[in-house]
Amino acid sequence: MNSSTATAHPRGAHLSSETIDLLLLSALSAPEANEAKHHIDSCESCRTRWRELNDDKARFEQFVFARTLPKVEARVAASRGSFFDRFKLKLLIPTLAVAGAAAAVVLTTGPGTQTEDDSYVGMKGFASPSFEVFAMRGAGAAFAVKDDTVLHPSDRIRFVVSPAGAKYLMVASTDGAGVFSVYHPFGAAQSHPVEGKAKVELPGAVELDDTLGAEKIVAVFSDAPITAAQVEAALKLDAKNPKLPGVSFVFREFRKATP
Amino acid sequence: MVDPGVQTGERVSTLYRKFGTAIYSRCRRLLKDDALAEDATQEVFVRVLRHIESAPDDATALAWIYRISTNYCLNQIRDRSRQAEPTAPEELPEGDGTTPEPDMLDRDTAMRLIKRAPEKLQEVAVLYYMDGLEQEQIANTLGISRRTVINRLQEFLERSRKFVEREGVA
Repeated sequence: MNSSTATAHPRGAHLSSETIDLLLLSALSAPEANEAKHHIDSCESCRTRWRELNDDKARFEQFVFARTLPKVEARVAASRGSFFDRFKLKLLIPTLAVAGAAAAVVLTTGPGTQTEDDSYVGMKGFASPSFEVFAMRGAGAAFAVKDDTVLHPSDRIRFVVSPAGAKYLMVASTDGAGVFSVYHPFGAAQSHPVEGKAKVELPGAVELDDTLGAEKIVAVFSDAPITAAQVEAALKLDAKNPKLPGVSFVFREFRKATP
Repeated sequence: MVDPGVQTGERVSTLYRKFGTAIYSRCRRLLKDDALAEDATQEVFVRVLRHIESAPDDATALAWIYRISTNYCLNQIRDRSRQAEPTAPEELPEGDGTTPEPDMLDRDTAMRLIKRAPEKLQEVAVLYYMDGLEQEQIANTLGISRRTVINRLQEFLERSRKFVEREGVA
């Protein structure tokens, strides 16, 4: 979602929940906020929703916030730092049973296929960026995707990256039919900011379509924004060793087949 | 030197105050129960916090809130419906038996139709019919393709039509 959404829903003449919530958060631009307020003034349905939201805000701030904050803080304190450990543990337990501890370490930390442009200066002083892909099938547990993993249409994949000081990130894919897509930020024309050196689980999961064959996914790390068109062109020129100034590519590959 | 624990506590409090209303309001609307909504607000906030913290802007944070709160509330509704008797058709508001156009329905009726839909269609239907998000926004929020959103909405609409034709209610 982007913030330029102070528009009516395509099926009707009403504001979306997102627009109304962003208006309450004062997160719309001045023209968007004016447009939304003007709409609310003239639309009874949206005015009712706006009033309800403000009533909920008053109720939350007066009663709910004070009542629930201590519990929330306690829960957050207890869970801090444990999410990723639990995520890794879930992956490691079945793997250890099958292939032993050494294989499990390779599964979660293996280098994949990585190329680094010598001119990339944003990561000097940091370790190389890394990129991991995890998949879920139905309601099953998450599992790591290696280069020989076979996935199915409708499997969902998620990404974990270590930016290692890089400022921008895009995750793109070239599927079995050679079609280029941007998976993160989903459908975006340009890379988005990413922060930190530590591992970050990217928001959202991508549900695989029914195009079969080898699919190559690449995390594109850079110090400045880069466009999807630049990435696609670099991959077309050299799919195995693409080069763009100041850019680091980290690849993962899997095969997609019907169950 | 600032105690990092205190710093974290203040940040959590600030974020909870800022985004708590959006979560609470949404949970109230979906669950239709103040006490359940209060519990759900805490649970959803804890689950969504790390995404909010790393979100580049408020719109991205809201996308996470919609996604996680919808999932959580739909699960709560499913759990409750497993414990309760199913709603009899006569409890639904009467209609003229024609094809439902969910944008014309009130939110209560839309929610009743959504509750009857298969799990995979519910999330998309809530974001489209309850929240008024566009197909592209839903695709971005859920990390699925727009084509998948369209297919699921069509399937939901088809099922709702059949239900109304069968039961004679909207």
